[in-house]
Amino acid sequence: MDDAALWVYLDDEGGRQADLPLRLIAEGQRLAQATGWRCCGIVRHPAVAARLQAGGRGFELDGLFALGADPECPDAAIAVVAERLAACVAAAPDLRVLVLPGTTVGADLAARVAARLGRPLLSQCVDLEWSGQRLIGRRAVCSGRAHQMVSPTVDPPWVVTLDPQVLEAPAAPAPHARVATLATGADAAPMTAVARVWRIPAAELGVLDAQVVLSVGRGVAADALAQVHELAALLHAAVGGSREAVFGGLVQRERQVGASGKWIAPRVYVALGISGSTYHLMGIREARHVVAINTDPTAPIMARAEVGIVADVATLVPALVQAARPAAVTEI
Amino acid sequence: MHIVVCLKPAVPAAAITYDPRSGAPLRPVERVTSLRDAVALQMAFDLQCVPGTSVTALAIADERADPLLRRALCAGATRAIRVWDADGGSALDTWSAARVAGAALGVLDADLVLCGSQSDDLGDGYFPAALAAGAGCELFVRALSVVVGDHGVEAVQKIEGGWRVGSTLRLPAVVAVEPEATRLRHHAVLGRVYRAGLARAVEVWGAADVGLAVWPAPLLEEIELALPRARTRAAPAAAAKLSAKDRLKRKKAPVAEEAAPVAWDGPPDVVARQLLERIAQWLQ
Repeated sequence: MDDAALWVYLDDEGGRQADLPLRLIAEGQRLAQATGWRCCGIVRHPAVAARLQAGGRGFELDGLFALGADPECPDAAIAVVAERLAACVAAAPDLRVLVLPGTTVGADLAARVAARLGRPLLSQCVDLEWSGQRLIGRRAVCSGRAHQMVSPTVDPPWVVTLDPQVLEAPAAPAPHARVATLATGADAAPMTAVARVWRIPAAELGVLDAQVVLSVGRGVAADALAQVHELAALLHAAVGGSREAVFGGLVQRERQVGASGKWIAPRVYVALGISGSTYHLMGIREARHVVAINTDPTAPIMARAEVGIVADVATLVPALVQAARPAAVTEI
Repeated sequence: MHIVVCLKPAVPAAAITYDPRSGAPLRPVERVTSLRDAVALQMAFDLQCVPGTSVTALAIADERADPLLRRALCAGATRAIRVWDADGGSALDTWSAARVAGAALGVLDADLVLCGSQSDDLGDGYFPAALAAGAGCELFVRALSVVVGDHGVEAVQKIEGGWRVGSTLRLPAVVAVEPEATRLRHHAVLGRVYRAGLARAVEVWGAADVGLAVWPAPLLEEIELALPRARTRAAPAAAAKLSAKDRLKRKKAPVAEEAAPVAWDGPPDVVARQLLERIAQWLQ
C-alpha cells in the first residue's frame, strides 16, 4: 500500500441520510481494496462524525477529517462547503479520488468542487472499476436505455458521485474512527444574499420532494380521500397513490408511486389500503420507514412495512386527523 | 440586460437503437433540446418582457445544433450562436464545452446565463458549475423562478422537503433551472416573432472568435456505450459458505420472522396517537 488515498465525503444531511454515509464507506473500501489505496473519510464538521458514530454503527477508515470546527454549514451555504472541500483536495497531493453521494446536495457539491479545481467529474456512477491503472465509471444515460463507460484522461484527483440506489450496506460494524480537523485556509462567503426561506403548502408538494408520503390504494374509498388530504396537510406530507388509485381517479398520474410511476425515497411512507404489488414495492425501495394500513394482514406490503396496522382506512384516517390536529408534530 | 441561454443538443433517448449483432446501443444522428434547456429558454423569453432585454441562444456543438438554434430564433431569441472548431472540436466533454461557453460569455458580456440543471441524455449536471467557474460568475442551482425586481434579479431555489429559498443574485450569474420552473409555450407559426426569427441566421464562431488559442482538451473520454446491466454484487461471506442444499432450504423457507412488521392493534384513537408519535420520532 502506498500513500495514495481515496476520500469519501460523509454527510448525513442533518440526520436525513443516516444510512448513506455507511453505504458510501462500504463502496469506498471496495474501491480502496481494488486499488491498494487508503480509504479516508471527510466530513464538513466533527458533529457530523459524532452523529454517525452515535448511530451505534461504527465505521472503519484509515483516517477521518473534518473541514472545520466552526458552526456547521447549512445547506444554503453549500458554496462555502465546496470552497473548503476544494481547498482541502488541492492541498492533498496523495489524494486520488474524492467520492461523494449522488444526492441533490452531494451532486451539487461534487460539481462545484470539480469545477473549482478543473478536475473530471464522473457523476452518478452505478459502478466503478479499476482496470489497467484506469478508473472506469459506468453511468446510466439516455433515461437508462444505455450505460456509458467513462474514464478520466488526466491525472488524479478525480471526483466521483455514486448513485445512492446502488450502494450496499456494510457487512459488519467496525470500530469508530478518530476525527482530525483539517486546516483549510479557505474562508469563502456565499455570494448570494438569501432573502427568505419558506415552505410550500402540502397540497403543492410532490411525492419526490416530501419527507412524508401518504399513498392511497384500492382500499381507499373516494369519499375518504378528503380526510387523507387533510391528514397530509397536518403532517406536511405529499399524497401519492398506487397504479390502481391512479386508474380509479383518486390521484393524478404524476403522483403515482411504483415502477411505472415515481421512485421515491421519503423518510416515512404510509401505505393506505395498498396491497403492495412487486412493482409498487420497487418504487418505495429507498423509503426509510414504511407503515402499512390494510385490512388484509397477509398483504405483501405488510412484509415490507416496519409497522403494520390491520385496520380499515376509513376508520383509522379520521382518528389520525383528530389526533394530529392538536398533536405535537410541530416540525416535520 | 443581456441573457444568454446555453442549449445542449441532446440525444433523444427514445431514438436509441441497438445493434442487432452485438446489442450495443447506437446513438441517432438527430439531436433535440433537453426539457430543462427548453424551460431555460422559455424563462429567458418571460424575462424579455423587461425593456432593454435581449436573449442570445448559445450552443457549443457541431452543425447538428443548428435546427435547435433556428427554433430558438423563431421562438424569440435575438441572436443564436454556435461555437465549434472543426479541427479540434471532435470530442468535447462537459467540462471542455463549459470552458468554451465561458470564453464565449466573456465576448458576449452576458448579465445572466440560463441553462438546464442537467441534460436529458448524459445528465451529469456538471455544466452549470463548470461554466460558472470558467466565467467567474456566481452559480445558482435548482432555480424555480427568476424575476427582475426592484432590488435586482431575484431567484427562488428548490430545496428538498418542500422548502424554498428566495435570494437576490449578484450579476453576472449562471442559473441552472429545474423543469417545473415555467410552462413551455408554443410560438405561433407565421406570427411576427416567428417570421422575424426566420429572417435571422445562426452565427458560427470558431475558437479564435471567443478568444481561445487552443481548443480545450476533454477531461473525460467515453470508452464505450454499452447495454444497461445490473451491477455485479459480491455474495456476502456468510452466504458463500452455505451449501446449495442450505441455500435452497433458505429460499423455500417462509418469510423470516424478523422481517415481519410490528403489528399494532387496539382502538383507532390509541393506534393513531401511537402512529403519530412514531412518525414524529422518525422525523427527528
